[in-house]
Amino acid sequence: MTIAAALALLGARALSIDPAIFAEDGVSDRHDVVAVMAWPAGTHLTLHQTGAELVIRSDRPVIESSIRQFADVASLQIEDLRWNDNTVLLRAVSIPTAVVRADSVELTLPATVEGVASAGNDDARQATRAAAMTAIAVELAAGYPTNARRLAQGALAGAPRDRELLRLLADAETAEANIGAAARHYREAGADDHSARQVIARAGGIIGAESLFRSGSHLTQVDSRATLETPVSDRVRLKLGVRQVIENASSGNSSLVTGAYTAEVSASWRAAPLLQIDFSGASWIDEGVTGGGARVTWGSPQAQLFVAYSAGLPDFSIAGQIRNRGYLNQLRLGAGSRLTSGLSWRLEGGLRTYGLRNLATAQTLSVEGGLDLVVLRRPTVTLAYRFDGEYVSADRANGAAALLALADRENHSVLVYIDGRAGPVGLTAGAGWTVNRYGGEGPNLSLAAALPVGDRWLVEASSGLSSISRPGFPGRQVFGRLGLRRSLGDLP
Amino acid sequence: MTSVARRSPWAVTVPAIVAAASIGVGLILIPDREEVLAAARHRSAMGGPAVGPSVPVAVRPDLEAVLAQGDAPAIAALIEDLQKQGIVFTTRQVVQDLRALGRSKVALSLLALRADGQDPDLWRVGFELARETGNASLAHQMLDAAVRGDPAVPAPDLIEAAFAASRPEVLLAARAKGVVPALPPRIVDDLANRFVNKADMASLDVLDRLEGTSWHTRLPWTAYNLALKRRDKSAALAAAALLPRDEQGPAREHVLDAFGDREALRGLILDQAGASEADTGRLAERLLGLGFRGDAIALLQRRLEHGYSSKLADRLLFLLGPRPAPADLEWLAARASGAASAAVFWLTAYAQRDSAPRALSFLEQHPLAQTQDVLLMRLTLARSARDPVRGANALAHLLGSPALSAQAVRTIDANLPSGLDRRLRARFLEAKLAAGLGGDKDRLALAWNAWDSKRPAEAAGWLEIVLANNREAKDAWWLMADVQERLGRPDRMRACLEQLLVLSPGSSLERARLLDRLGRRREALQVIAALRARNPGDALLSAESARLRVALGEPGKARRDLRQ
Repeated sequence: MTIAAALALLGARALSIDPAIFAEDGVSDRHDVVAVMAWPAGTHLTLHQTGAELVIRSDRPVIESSIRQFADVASLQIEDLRWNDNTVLLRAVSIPTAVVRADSVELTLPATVEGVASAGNDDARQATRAAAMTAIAVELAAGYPTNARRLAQGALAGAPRDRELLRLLADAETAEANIGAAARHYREAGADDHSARQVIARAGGIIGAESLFRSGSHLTQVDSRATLETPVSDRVRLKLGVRQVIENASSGNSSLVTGAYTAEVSASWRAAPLLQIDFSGASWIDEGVTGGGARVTWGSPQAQLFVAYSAGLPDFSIAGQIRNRGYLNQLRLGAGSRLTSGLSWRLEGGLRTYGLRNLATAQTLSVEGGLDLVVLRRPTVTLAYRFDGEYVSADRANGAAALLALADRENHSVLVYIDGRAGPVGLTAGAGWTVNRYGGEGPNLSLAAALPVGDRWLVEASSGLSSISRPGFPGRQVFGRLGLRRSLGDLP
Repeated sequence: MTSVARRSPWAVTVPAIVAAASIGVGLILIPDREEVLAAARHRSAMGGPAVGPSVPVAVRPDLEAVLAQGDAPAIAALIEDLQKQGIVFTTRQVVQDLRALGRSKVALSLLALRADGQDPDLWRVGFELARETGNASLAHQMLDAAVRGDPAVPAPDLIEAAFAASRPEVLLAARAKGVVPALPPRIVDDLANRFVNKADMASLDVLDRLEGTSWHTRLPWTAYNLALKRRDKSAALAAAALLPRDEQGPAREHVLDAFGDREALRGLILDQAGASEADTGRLAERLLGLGFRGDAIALLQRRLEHGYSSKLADRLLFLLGPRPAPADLEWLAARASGAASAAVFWLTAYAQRDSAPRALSFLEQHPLAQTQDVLLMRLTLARSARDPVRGANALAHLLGSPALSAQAVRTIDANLPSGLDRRLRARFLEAKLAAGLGGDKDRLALAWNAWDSKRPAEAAGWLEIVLANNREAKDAWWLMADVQERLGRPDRMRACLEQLLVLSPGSSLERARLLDRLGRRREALQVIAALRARNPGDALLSAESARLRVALGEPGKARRDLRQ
C-alpha cells in the first residue's frame, strides 16, 4: 500500500479530453419528431410493425388532412408513405415508436436518419478517438508512458481493433520497457515501420556480445560478455550469459594480469504492467563463487520504486577482488520520477558488503541520485546534476576495506548531454565537470553512437573520459565500449 | 316467241301484285267486326237513325215551327198529341231533332217532362245533353246515380260516360255494385295506369280485387312501379321479370336495392358479372358500395386475368392498398410472372406492394430480372430493404447495360447502395458524367475514389478538371496536395497548400493546419493562439495547440494546453 501511495504521489496526473469537443457541430441538436395520423371516431385500428416499416389497417379511411400534415411534419424521417381507404404503409428512415390511441396513432420518429445516425455515431467515435490520440501522443512525447498506456487502453476498450490506437499503446509499452506486450500490439496494429519491427524482433530474443574497456590510475579492465536472451512467455524472459573479465592491476612497478570467467543466468517476470520481478544468478567458474539476487520494480520510467537484494555475486570492480574471489552482497532501494516533462529525478541508496575469499568483508553505504532537466529538444539538450557517494563504515583499517583500499567518495557532477541523429546513427555527446568532496576534480567527456542495421542488428560504440571516482578507479579514467547484438524474433 | 318469253314474268306478276295490294288495302280499310259493332252501338246511343218527318207533318203542319221555336212543355204537348193520334213519334226522335236544331237545353227540359225521359236507353242522351248544356253537376249526378244502378244504364254507356266525364274511377264502384259486368282489359289497364299515376293505392287494391291481377302482365312497368310503391318485393320482382329483356336486370337490381337486400343484390351482381359483356368496373363499384370489398376485388381480378385494362387495374390496385393481403400479393406475383405485355406493369405493382426483401427476391428470380426497368426496381428495393449487397449487384448489372437514360441515372443516384465498392462507384459516377448529370462534386468523388484505390495519377486528372472549373475549390486543393505528395512532387504539394493558404485568410483552424503541413508550425501555433484567445476554453483548439507543441518539441507546454 505504501508503495502504491508513494507512486501515486510521484505519478503524474494523466490527461483527459472531453471527446464531445471533437464531435461535428449540428449532430447533437437534432430532435425526434412526434407526429400523429388520425381516423374518424370509432375506427378500429390494427398495427403491424416490422423494423422501420409500419402497416396500419383500419375499417375507415384515414383522415386525409391528418396524414398530409403527418407527411409534412415528418418529411425528413419518411422514406415511403402510401395509403388507401383501409391501409396506411409507412417506412421510416429509422425505427419509429408507435403508440395506438383511440382513433389515432402517434409516432415518434427518431431524430437521426440512418445514414446520419451512423455518421453521428461515427463522428462521436472519431471525436473520442481523436481526443484520445492527441492525449496519448502528448503524454508519450512528454515522457509519461504509463499515462499514455492507460489512455490508450481506455480508448481501445471501445474500439479494440483500432490500429492507430494499438500502435500508440505499443509505443507506450515500449517506453515502459514491456516489449513483450509492445511487440504483440505492434503486430495487432499491423505496424511495419522500422521502430515497430525492431521491437518485434527484440521481443523474440536477443543474442549479443559487448566489451567494455576501462583504464584508470592503477587498473585496466576489459569486461566482455556474450548473452542470449529469450522469451519464455509473453511475460517471462530468460537470459543466459558468459562473462570474461581481464584486468591488469599495477602496484608500484609490478603489474599483474588476471582473468575470470562467470556464467550468468537471469529471469525477468512482468507480473503486472507496472510490476517487474527479476531473479539473477552468477557463478565464477573454477572459483566456486556463486550467488544470486532478486529485484522488485514497481512503476515505470515516469515513476518508479525498486528494492533489490543480492548475495554472493562475483564482483570485479576493484583490483583486489579478482585475485581474492571477490563477491558482493547488496541491498538497494531506489525511486525516481518525472516531475515535469523536462525535469526528472532519481535517488537510490544501498548497503554493500564487499567480501573476499578469506571471508574478510567491508560494509559501505552508497547513495546515488540525479536531477535531469531537458532544456532543449531537437536536438535534445539535457542539463544534469549527478550525485554519487559511497561511505565506508568504521573499522576501515581491518578486513576487506583495507585490502581493497576502499575510501569514502562523494562526487558532484554537472553535465550537459546532447542527443542527436546523424543519418541512421543516433549520437549522444556529454561533457561536464565533477568535484569529489573527499578530494579531486576533473572533466567528463563522452560520445556514444548507436547504429541499427536492418531491423535486427544493432552496433553500439561509446568512449570517453570520466573523472567520477568509483571503487577501483579513484581518479580519472578512460573508457570505451563496443556492443553488437542481433534480435531473433520473427518479423511480420 | 322471244318477246313473249321476255315479257311473260311482268305480264303475270304486275297484275298479281296490284291485285294483292288492292285486296290488302281493302282489308285494312274495311272495318272489322269489332269496329262495326262499336260504331253501331255509338249510333244507337246517340238516338239511332232519324225517322223522316213526313207523316207527322201531315198531321201537325206546325210541327217544324214548334220544334224550332216552342218551349219544352209545348213540345211535350205536341208529342202527346201525336201519340194520341197513333202516330209513332218518340221522345228519342224529338230529342234527336232538337239537338240537331241546336236546342239542347230545350231537349234536356223535354226529357225531364216526359215520362219515358228517365228510361235507361235515354240516360245516355240525357247525360250528353247535360254536358252539352254545361250542366256539369247534373251530368255528375246522373253518373253517380247510374253507378248506383238507378237507372240501370247499359254497361257500355256507363263506361263511355265515365270516361267522357273523366271519372273512370267510378266504374270501380259500379263494378263493385254489380252495375257493370267484368270490365274489358283495355279499361282495366287504363284504370290501372291512372291509379298508379295518381298513387291511388286504395283504388288499385280494389281494382286488383275486382278484376284480378291479369293486367300486371299486360302492364309490367305499371305493375313494377305499383309494387315498388306498395313495397311489395315479390310483386316487384315478378313485374321486373316481365319487363323487356334489357330492362329486367337493372329493374331487379333496383328492386333489391330499394328493399336493401344486400345478399340478393350481391348474387345478382355476381350473376351479371358472369356475362361476357358485363361492365366489370361498374359492377365492382356496386359491390363496393354494398360493402362487398372482397367480391369487388375478386371480380376485378377475374376480369383482369383475361386481359389488361389500365382503368380497372388502377382501381384494383387502389383497393388492394399499399400492402395487400398475402393472397392478393400472390395474385399480383402471378400476373407479374406472365409473359404478357402487361407483365412489367404488374411487376412494378407487385414490387411496390410486397415487403422490400421479398419483392427483391422475386424480382431477382424473374425472367425480366436483367432488364433496365427491373434492375432499377431492384436497386430501389435493395435500398428499402437496407441490403447494399443486393443493391450493388443490381447496380453492377445496370452499369453493364447500354447507355442509361438521365432518368435512370437519377434513380440510381437516389438509391445508391451504401458502402459501395470503389470500382462500381467510379463506374456509376462516370456514367453520371456521361449522361450530362454530373458535376464537379462527382469529379471530386471520382478523385477520392481513385485516391482511395491508390491511383493518385488518376485522382490528379479529375482534380485538374475540378480546379480548372473552380479555382477556389478547397476540398480539391487539399486532396490535390495529398495526391502530389503521393506522386512524389513536394513542390507541387506545397503549391497546392500555398493556394489553400491564399483561400483561407484570417485565423482559422484550417489555416493553422495548412501552416503545420507546410512546416510553418510556429505560425500555425500563432494562429491557434489567436483563435484560443477568441474562444477561451475551446478544447478542440487546445488539442490542436497540443499537437503542434508536440511536433515542435514542447511536450510540457502541450500538456499545459490540454490541462486548460
